Amino acid sequence: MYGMLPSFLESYGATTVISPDLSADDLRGADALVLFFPNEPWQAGQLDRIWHFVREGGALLLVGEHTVRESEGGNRFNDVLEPTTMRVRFDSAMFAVGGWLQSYETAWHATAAGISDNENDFGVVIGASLATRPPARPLIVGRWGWADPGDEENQAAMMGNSRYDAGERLGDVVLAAEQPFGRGKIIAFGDTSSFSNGINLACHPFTSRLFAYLADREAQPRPLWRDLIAMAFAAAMVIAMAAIRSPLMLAALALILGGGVYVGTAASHQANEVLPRSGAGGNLAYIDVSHLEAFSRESWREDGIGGLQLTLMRNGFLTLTLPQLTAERLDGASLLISIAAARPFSPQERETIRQFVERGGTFLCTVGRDRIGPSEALLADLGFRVGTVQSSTGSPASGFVPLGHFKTPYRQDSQSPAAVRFHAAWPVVCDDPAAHFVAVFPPNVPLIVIRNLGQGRVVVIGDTCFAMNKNLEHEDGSPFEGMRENADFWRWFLPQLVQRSAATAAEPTRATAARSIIPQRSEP
Amino acid sequence: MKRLVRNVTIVRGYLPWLGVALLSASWLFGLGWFRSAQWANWATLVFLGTSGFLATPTMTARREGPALLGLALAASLPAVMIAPWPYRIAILLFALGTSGLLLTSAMHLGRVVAPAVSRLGTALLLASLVLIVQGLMLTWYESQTARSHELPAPLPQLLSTVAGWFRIDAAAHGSSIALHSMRQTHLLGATWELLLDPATLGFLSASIPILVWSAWTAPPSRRRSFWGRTFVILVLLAVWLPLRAGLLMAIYLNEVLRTDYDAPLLAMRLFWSPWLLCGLLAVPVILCGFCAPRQVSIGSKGAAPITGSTRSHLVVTALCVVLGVSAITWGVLWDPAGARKAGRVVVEEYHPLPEKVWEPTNKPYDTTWYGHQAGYNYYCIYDYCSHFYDMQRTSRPLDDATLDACDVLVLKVPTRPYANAEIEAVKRFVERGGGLLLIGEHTDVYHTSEFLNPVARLFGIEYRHDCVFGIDAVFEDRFEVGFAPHPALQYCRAFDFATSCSLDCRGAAGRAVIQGRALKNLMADYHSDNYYPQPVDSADMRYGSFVQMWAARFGRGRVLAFTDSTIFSNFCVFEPGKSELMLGALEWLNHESRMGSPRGWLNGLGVALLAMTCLLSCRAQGPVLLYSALGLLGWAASVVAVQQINRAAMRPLVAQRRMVRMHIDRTICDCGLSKNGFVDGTLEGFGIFERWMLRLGYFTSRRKGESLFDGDVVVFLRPHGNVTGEFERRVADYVQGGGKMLIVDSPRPDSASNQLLTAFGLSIDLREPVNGVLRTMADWPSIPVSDAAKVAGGEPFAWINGQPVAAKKSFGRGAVFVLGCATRFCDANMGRSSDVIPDKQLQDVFEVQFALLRWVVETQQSSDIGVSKERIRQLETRAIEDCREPSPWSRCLAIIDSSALVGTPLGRQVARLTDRPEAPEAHPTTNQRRSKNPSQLLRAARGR
Repeated sequence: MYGMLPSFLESYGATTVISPDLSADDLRGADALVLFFPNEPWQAGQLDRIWHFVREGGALLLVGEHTVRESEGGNRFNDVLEPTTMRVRFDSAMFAVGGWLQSYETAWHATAAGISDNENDFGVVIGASLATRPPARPLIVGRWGWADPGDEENQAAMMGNSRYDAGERLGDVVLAAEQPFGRGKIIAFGDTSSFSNGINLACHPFTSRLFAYLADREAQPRPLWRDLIAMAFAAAMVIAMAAIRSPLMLAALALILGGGVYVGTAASHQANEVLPRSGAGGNLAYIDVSHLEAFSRESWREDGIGGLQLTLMRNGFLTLTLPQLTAERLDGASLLISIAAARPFSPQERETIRQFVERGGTFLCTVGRDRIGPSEALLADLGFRVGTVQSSTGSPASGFVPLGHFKTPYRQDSQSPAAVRFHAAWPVVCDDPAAHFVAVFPPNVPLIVIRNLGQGRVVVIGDTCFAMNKNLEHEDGSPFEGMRENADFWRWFLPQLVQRSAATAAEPTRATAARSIIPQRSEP
Repeated sequence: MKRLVRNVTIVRGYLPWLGVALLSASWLFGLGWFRSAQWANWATLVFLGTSGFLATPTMTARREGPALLGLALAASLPAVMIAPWPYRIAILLFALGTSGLLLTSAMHLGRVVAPAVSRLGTALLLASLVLIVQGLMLTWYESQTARSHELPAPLPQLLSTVAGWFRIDAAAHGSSIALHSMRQTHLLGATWELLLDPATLGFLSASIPILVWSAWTAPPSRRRSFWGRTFVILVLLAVWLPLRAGLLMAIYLNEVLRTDYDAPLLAMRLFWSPWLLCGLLAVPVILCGFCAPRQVSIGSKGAAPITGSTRSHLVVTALCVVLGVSAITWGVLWDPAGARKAGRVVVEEYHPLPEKVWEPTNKPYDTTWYGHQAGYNYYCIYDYCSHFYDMQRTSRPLDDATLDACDVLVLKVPTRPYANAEIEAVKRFVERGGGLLLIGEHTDVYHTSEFLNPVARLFGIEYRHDCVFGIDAVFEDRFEVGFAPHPALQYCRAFDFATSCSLDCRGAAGRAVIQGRALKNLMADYHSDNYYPQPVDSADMRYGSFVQMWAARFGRGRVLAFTDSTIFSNFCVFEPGKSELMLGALEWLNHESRMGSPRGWLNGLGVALLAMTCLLSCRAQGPVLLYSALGLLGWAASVVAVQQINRAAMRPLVAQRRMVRMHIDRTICDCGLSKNGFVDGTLEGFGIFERWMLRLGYFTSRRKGESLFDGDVVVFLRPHGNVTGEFERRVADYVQGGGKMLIVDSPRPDSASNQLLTAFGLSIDLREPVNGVLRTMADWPSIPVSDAAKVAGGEPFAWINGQPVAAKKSFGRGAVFVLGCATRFCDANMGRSSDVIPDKQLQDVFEVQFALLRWVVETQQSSDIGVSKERIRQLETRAIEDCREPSPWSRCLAIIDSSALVGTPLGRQVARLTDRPEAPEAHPTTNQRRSKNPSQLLRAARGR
């Protein structure tokens, strides 16, 4: 599903129009056109309007899928790509390692420079491979994989046998490609996954650059002058290597080359970064992934947080992962969630979080004593301790108190008390006497504590796995022992958390103001 | 041709280092460091590693000469006999190498044979020296890593940085390195095993002395170059260590990456792979081969022969060697027991919370209490120990007054915290000479470790909140007692842990009594009720060796900390080794030594003497081989002496009161019995039948061979296989001498029952099974039975359809009982689980077993005293109930006195015991305990 995409684009300053018919009015003034899995027959004039739009300088992003063959033969993607040298194949681009981890090879491109493949940062899963020839050029290539031809007889989406067979293309499977077209450009993907709600939240560093690139009519993948300079450098390097006899000099040359690549990549990465700006509703929620958090990055594992992500989206949050904890990124957010970090927060990061909260943001941390170490200093800054109970004198008692797995009521003051379940809870102690206890272990050991700090709030939940799937939501939606208490809890709890001031929320960040993706345009 | 010669020369330069590496790796296989021992791989590596030294220059051993070489050979032989495998190979190679040199020195072997023998002898000697050094270093390494695996700061941060060089998203905190993967964040332990694994340590421990020695003995013109190269190698090796750890982490993450989404994550096994660790030695080998001086000098080549003027010097040096090695051996192995105390043992029963009593000692394991809690109970071991010690319970807070009257205090799995005053009282108790036994449990279950740790920390010990598992087989943690055990273990051969925690003994003075190897641990999972984690491999597990029992001295007293309370529970305490462990621990604590631990000064003396040896040897260039052999002799003599002293100081315990011992044969019976309390549950298992014997107050023991016959009753459960004539005669002698034998069998073609029964005029029909209701001559319940065997001869006492299926035959002073209804009493027909709560039908089956066993044990005595079985049973039941609900002793007396016992031998016995308490020599206060347990009193009386 792609329902969060409009919010996502709007968070970067773009305006999104969902066009039912690709009318000329809809296309007028637009910078980029995105076609997600077109599967309806093209109406008369639609293709011409699209091609015209691109020739005139617009950008087209065509997102296809694997093994699509319409009843009359062919598919709608290739109809659009007909004037180009790109085609979406009737096959599945299969990976050797799930999620194409450590398997991507990207072109030197504004959208991909500096993005690693340690995780599925490009978001491709199983889609179709692309056939390309110049002037089209691959944008993303799956190095360790193969193209598995489709099988029209197969009821399972006409996919092949998911095995590598003799004769199939092995390695270097093109997953996305680009071709200049007229004054514009066309980028084709063989897979829709990168833009789906569940994946875009993690690969937004790439998709945001991609949309920024599409929206920038002046942007080119590789200007000719830059190519020429690079070729000149390469020629000089070859000559130097042939001329130099000294091993040390050769090593120095290699170091220079490596350093040049590193610096160039870093500069390119930095230059093309786009950041969300605060939405009017202040609904951007970040889940920190920059501190090796305890949850699985595979959303639907027991330790994953697919359920939390969906819960946030269902409650109106644009949910994104946070790859770097910087003030610039947090400027646009209203909620920051940290789940049992394993990398300690630096003093600067701790200060950033404190300022984020004091300016009206909400910081929510779920961590038990078992994983408290790297978060301990941060929580201490914010006036919290986890794992100990407060003695009668107010000082923390010695020893740690695991409370285990149980349910406890919250909302006791309301007409319908409800219970929230903990996976493995620990007491939370807060220095602020005005702190509010949302849930306690009977009789009065606090487990979820909120305190106000500046204009914002800090919430600490003493349970590492509180927000994980195994304590919130199953992938198939099945209830926990017949109930969905924690989904109900979050639905009740989240609206109470975010009370970001409108003034702060509406203020655009410098970075986002500079590169809004789709400029304001007149309404059709 | 020149190139070929050059290449051969280069390869020859690498061979000794390859040999050192292969010998290093051999320890992983031989010791079973991470996996079970693999002897074929070990032997191959030792062979290949030794072969690597064939390329080294030959030792001429001119300094020793035939006489000294012969002496060296003779001096090394005792150590060959004593050392266990795989350590023995090092000494064996030494002896063989010395023999080779002796041959070439003493005999004319010809121009062809002599150099070959000399070269072989040199290779064997070098390999042996390398192995000895490695063995010593690895022993020390194991003892240190078992205490704590954690790397100190800033090494975890260093490893985290190195991981970053391998493009791993990593961060260090505490002693963990967090590694990122999509599947999970791996909190990899920053351990010594990661940075410096045993194989690498073995390589370094042998190669560094070789390098230093070669630089030290290099010709003056090349000495500087040698030192320079040695320094470079050491630096490169130091750089290699963190790189190696980074490489391992990268390989680990690659394995994680390649694991299918749904497949279990088994990548941790890489860290335990001896072959991978062996393969990683390639880099140090290449470094040493490439950088080390080509002419490494090893041995005493070219030394001058001995003259008369140096003979006295030699004697002094030899003495220093022998005494130095002996002192260190004594320092490591000897933990003097001291004088025996009075044997007053107090079991602390105040700290179990009333609503969460765990492993109590005071509720009898009898014929009426069934279920889970009946198994997790210390009644039986308490009862057992009470036959050796004056056992008492205390159910009030600990204080000096309570502890003054006690020699050994047992603190077991407390479920509520000790007050500071109690902790101080315990501290004072130990300081003034008390023995303290701490018994913990895995994962801080019920907060037992949390409550025990304030006491344990007084002695530098900490119970980790973890579970310890076997690396190869998760639930297999068998401890085999080594060749020079701590005195507390000297009468225990082996036992199985259930699931223990481990001890962090970083700051503890003392020694490991039980140091398990090839283990891994998992920290508590606070989601589950008992904090028991899923036993799956996880990056945060530590692996290698763990301390599972620790002995410490404090003041004049001593402490033993043990980590697995479960094994003393009723349901498994009489499995092999466990009751012996408890008795050994109590006996060790029931001694007091005023001299304290001699470890420090003995080790100091040893080091000083060895340093002097080195000094003298270097100055006079003495016969190193002879000194080495004398060192081995000193070691062997010390080991034997320490063993003998330990045995003399703590002799096998003899029960101070009569007890019924039922020995379950394992010579010709291999039916399924319980393991760690888990019964077989099948038609072939008799675990429940065995355990129910405890409910009658009898004590079971599984025995084999001659040791079978020192009990009161020998039980054969489905005997089969070949019975030797000697065994038959031994059985007959046993019964003739007053022993009782019970054979339980059913029709089976491979039964050996008739081979045992023939001598007694009994036989069992193994061909035609009978089915029906079992009826007995007495008032035992009637139970349905199938697949029973008819019995011929003797006096039948049970029938099915009128056909005898059980009989008794008196023989000499003893008796033989045979029961052909084994199937009725197998686990599958006894409820399958020992936690079963029986219904009426199953209770009847149990009752038949109880009645049968009582009859077997007591029939002779009851006829002597003229009291019916039923009457004894009534008395016993009432007495046990009385004991369960504390009541005045007078009531017990009233029960006894008012019965038909008056005027009978049993009555007289009771009167004697109650009116005039006997005082056994070694345990004058044992009768205090007697007076509190009338059921034991009755059993004891009946047993006389």
